[in-house]
Amino acid sequence: MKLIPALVLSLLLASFLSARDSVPVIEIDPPDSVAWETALGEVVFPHAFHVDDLGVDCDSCHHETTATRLAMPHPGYFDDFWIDCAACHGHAASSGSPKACSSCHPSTPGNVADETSSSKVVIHRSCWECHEVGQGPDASRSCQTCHPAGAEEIEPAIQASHQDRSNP
Amino acid sequence: MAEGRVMAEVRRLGPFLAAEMRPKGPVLTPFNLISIPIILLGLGILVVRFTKGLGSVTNLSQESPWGLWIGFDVITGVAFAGGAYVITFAVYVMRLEKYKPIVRATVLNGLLAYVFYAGALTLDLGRPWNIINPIIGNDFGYNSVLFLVSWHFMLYMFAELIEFSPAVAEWLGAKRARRILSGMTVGAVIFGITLSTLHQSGLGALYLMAKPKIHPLWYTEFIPILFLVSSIFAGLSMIILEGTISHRVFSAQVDEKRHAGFEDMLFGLGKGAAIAMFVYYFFHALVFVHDHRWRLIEGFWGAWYLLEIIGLVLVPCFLFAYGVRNRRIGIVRTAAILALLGILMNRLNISVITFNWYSPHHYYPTWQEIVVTLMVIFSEIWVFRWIVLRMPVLRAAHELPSRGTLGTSRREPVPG
Amino acid sequence: MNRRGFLKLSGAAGAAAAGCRRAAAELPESAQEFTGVLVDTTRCIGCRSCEVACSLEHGNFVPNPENDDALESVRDTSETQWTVVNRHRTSKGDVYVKKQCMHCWQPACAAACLTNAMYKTRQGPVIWRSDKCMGCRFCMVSCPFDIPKFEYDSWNPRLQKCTLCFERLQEGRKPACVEACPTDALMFGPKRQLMEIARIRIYNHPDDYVHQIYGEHEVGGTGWLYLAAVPFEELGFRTDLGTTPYPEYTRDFLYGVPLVLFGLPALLLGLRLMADGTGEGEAHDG
Repeated sequence: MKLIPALVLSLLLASFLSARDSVPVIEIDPPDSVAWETALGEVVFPHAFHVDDLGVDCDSCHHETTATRLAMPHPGYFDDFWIDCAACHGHAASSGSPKACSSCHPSTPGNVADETSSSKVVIHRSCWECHEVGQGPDASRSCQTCHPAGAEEIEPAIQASHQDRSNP
Repeated sequence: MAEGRVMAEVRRLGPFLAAEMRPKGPVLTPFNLISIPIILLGLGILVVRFTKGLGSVTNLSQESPWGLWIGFDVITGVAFAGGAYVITFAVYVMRLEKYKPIVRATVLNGLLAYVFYAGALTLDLGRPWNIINPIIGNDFGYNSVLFLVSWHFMLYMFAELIEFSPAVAEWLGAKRARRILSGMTVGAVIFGITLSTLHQSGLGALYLMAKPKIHPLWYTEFIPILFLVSSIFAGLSMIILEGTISHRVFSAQVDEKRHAGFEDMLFGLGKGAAIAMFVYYFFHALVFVHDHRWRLIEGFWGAWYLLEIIGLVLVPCFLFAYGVRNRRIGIVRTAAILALLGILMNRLNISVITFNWYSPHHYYPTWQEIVVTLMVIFSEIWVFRWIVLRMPVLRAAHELPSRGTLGTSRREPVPG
Repeated sequence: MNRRGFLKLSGAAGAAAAGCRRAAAELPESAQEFTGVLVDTTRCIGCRSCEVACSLEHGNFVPNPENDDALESVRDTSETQWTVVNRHRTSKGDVYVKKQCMHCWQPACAAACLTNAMYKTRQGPVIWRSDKCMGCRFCMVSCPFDIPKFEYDSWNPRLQKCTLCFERLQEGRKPACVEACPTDALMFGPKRQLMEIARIRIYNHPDDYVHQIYGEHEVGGTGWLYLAAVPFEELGFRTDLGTTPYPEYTRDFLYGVPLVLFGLPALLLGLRLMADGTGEGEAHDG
């Protein structure tokens, strides 16, 4: 049974050693805004607006992550399975304060099969709980809401394309 | 000393060639009056094609990447040119001397056909300057049937050139060259027949991967074999047709002996065509039964298929047999024309008409594509005429009118 | 735990971390596994960010998904757009399907190309190499998915099709479309892993998916795999293409070539000698 804490320790070390995402300790004061660099320009999320003005609960987005420890008869399975069960069933640092999404949801998943979806996907899905996205052209239009910089960036390219020739 | 010999040859050939360049007949013939404007128009179309891209003069599209230029000029034209390898097989392998009089004309036709159809193919390429790539090794696409076909085209043209070169040597009075080249004939013939076998069937093999796009009545894994067998009787029918035309048009060129035996030859060719067509029909029947094609005989495509197989394969097959048996040359000629139409229909069906047959867009050639095709054909006839009127193709070398200017009075053995 | 155990573990963890980092969307030099993309049509919302990202990356026509009516009709890729998203009205509502080159494991186009301009790279993407192409369009004739598109209006035409962002893969980045997709409808990785994900998804949600991964066996296997909630025929996929890799259709013919090339001359020579019954030899040739 020394293996589980050892495993947890090694995972912590791994996430610490790999420069991808660290486990930040969140202060009690929520940040005013959070900025992300995305493939479609910079996104600025008005955190304080959602928390203070809209009164959104912490748990709504930073969902419950302190799942009970798993009593696994075959703890070795943790090593073989690509799904990072320990992300929810094992983190020691859960003190109740919300973690940053990237602590469990990496921006570049180490394994393509990582079913703890990438931060890009979960953030979108989280936002879409309230912000209707729709489908087709509605979905296309809704990108602008959060990606205004990106939309501005590609506007000239779209204009240029439509001036040169129309798509056959 | 050698220099002196070369200078003597040049002095001899110079005025000879100058004289040969002059027209050998009336200039304002109906054929000339029709063909010259078309050739000039075609050249104009080509200028547009090379500056504005293929789409500016063709109806080719993303669904129909190959149109008239490939479907007719290459896929059908090469089948029509199959007479060369069939006749050289008859004469040089099976030693059927009866057909010797027609060998040169047929080989010349074959050579010109390949040269002009390879030319037509080059016109159809998007980047014709890169045609040297598969030749020089940038890169060798070994897995490609087209790689094989293009290399064989190239080598076959060389083989036919060698087969025809003794006639050129006789024309120039180059006796030693003629001897050397004649010695190479059998090798060139064997090489040529081998290459023909592979590239005639290869043209069919081009469509093997297009299985989901060709109508199931026309697609079969045996397309290569069907193309090979059909090229045999296509070639024979073309010899019958072109031979008939040449005989009339160039009757002054043909010597008496040939006139007499000509019909006899045609009957022999007709016999070969009948047998080849029967084999072809039998293969089609085998495929039909094997693929359970009864269920496909319905609607337009079913009728179209029956028209091709019954009307333009089985019927000419019987007509050939009947015509040969009863010595009716008119029936043999009719059979030849029907057979050629059948080949044209079959090749166009596979390459163009039933290709992507379920697509809402149907390809049909533009007038520019037709004009360029006619330009290619007319240009080929111009060259054929030029050569036949000057070189010993339809008649023996010593009977050429140019002989007198060469200053030799020695009779040469009849080349056959 | 003693000090030795601690050091062992931290060493292992460090190695694991380093290994994790390298595996992230990077293609090692010796990569033999073909990469591909898994398209889960149940996740696609039809935003067409992938179309925009692809065209931006490669200098193609950039559509305006907010304002055009492209989704009103089923489109094909073109010489100005390497990928399109189509909306299909199905028994289960609207389904959006991204269309592009399938990067087959044994591509018909690469087998067809006589200059190897269409080329299957070792990493999996099928690319087109401009310096070799002569524009014969045989690849277009052979591709069962009708993907390569030709620039008919150019004097120096190119073949246009998805390259799986081969240059980006060399730099360790993901294809532009995968990067842009907000819902992970597109996932990039070795095909083996994608197949496992796809199977697990079907296994875990059996009622949400048709129990088939399109591209697993079609035409001998393709690099792009599709999952769907409705039968694939309803989504514009051809299901009559068979499972034989397309180059195999020409294999028997090509294998016959050496046989004919060396056997036929011998046969012909033999026939000629047999027909030389009069014994006159080569007297009257030419």
